[in-house]
Amino acid sequence: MSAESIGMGIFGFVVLYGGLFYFLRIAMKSKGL
Amino acid sequence: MVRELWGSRLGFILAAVGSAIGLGNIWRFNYLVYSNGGGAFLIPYFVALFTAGIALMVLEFGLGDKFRGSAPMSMRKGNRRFEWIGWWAVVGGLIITMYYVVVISWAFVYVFKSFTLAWGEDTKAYFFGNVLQLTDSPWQLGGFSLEVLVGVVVIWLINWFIDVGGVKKGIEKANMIFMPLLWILAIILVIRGVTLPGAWGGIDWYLKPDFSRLTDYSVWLAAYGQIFFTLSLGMGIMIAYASYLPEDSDVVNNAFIVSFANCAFSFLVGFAVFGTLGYMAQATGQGIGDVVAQSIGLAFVVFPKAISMLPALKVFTAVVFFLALVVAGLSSSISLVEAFAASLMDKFGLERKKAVNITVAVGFLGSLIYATKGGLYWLDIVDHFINTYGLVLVGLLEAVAIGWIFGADKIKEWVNRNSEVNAGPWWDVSIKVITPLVLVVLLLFDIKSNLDAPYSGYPISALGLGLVIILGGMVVSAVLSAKQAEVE
Repeated sequence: MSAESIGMGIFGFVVLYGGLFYFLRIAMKSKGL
Repeated sequence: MVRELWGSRLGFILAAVGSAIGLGNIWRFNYLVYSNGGGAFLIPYFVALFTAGIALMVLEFGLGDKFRGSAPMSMRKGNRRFEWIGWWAVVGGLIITMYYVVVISWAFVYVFKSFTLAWGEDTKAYFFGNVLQLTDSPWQLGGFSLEVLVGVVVIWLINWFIDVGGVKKGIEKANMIFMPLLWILAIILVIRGVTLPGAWGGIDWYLKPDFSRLTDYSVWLAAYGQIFFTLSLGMGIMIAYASYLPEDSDVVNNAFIVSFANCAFSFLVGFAVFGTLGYMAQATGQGIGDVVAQSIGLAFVVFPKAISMLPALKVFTAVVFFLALVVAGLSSSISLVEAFAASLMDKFGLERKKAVNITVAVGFLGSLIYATKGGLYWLDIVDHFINTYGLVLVGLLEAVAIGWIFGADKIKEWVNRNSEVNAGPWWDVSIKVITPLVLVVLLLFDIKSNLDAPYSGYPISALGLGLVIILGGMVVSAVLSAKQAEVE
């Protein structure tokens, strides 16, 4: 697997899962789930 | 009538995520990435998510939360003349459910076929010949494919059972099971996919970026189109679901969580699909381009073939894959049924059971044509038209009606009252400018391609009937909108 593909894979995971957990964390800190 | 409420915030989020995650997350997103510049596609995809998808999600959640009603009622409360848009959203959604249930039923049938890997060597001939028993043209319906018909009855009954149970005891409870189950199934498929020989070669093709494609406008249109379709927008679902939120609910952060969860799921599943395709390509000595597919072709032709070639765990993988399709489909179809049933309840003051009975009965009757041996042709034709003249048109009208006529500020003010993350100026720009602009361009391109050549080479008469079905839906929406409401 090329370094470019690995980079894009990490980019995708960081944005999507980072975003998801970031907003979940905000929810947990204020009103909770 | 006292409006039902979600039992918990988590219940609402899981139901909304369940609605957004559908068959397209498994069989469409990863192909779009592969065919639109690989990993480079993620850039326009994320731009579309941030500039249009999340903003429209906030708009639909905000409408439902503010006006405490289904799509027609919420649009009516915004402006009496907008009620028609709400009806067209949910009628379009019901038309989609009619064939969507049939596709889920194929997957349901394949769950059982997985135990014997019944598709054999020639998976294409098996699916089209043995299961669908496809005729030669849309005008030859050729009677029912019995196993598909049985599947359709079962899937409609499951939809009825869940929706008749209500918001908390039906939809929320079902999604509390469906969503964790679906993520577990997806993770199993990813582990199976990436541990196969040749898997990372396939994943390389999934993610290998071709940044030169970013100058191609069609790549950007594909990204905006995918974001719009994947988030279950323009069908009145998110408006109905948000109308069951308690008064002090957060809207903006919920929209972020639901949108991110949906896209994160799609991205993850791509590893399972391209890992398995990579193995298949290596095992057959072919290039990835020779084995790659999307939609029905991926699920019922290529994947069964790949599964049959696996070195181990064939039956297990097959059951997990088709079960994932069924669960992803069901969590979406129950939301489509709810969006229409809620509209009947709101407008005509019907009890839930009666509204769901009517929705399921009409939906089931509509499904029958797609369960015939010529049904696949009609599915393809109606799907083609409804996406353009249903979803895209509704999304455009919603954004213009609320953004420009009702006033985006009023919705923004409302959603920011209790939100953990505020909708800032970015939201106004997105709803009033970017979203309408992109949807107009999508609409114009679709209309142009329809005028340039008959879609997929179908006879003009069949395409004409497909268009008549859509226009009929619009007329029904206008009639429902014009009827005097029992509940004001």
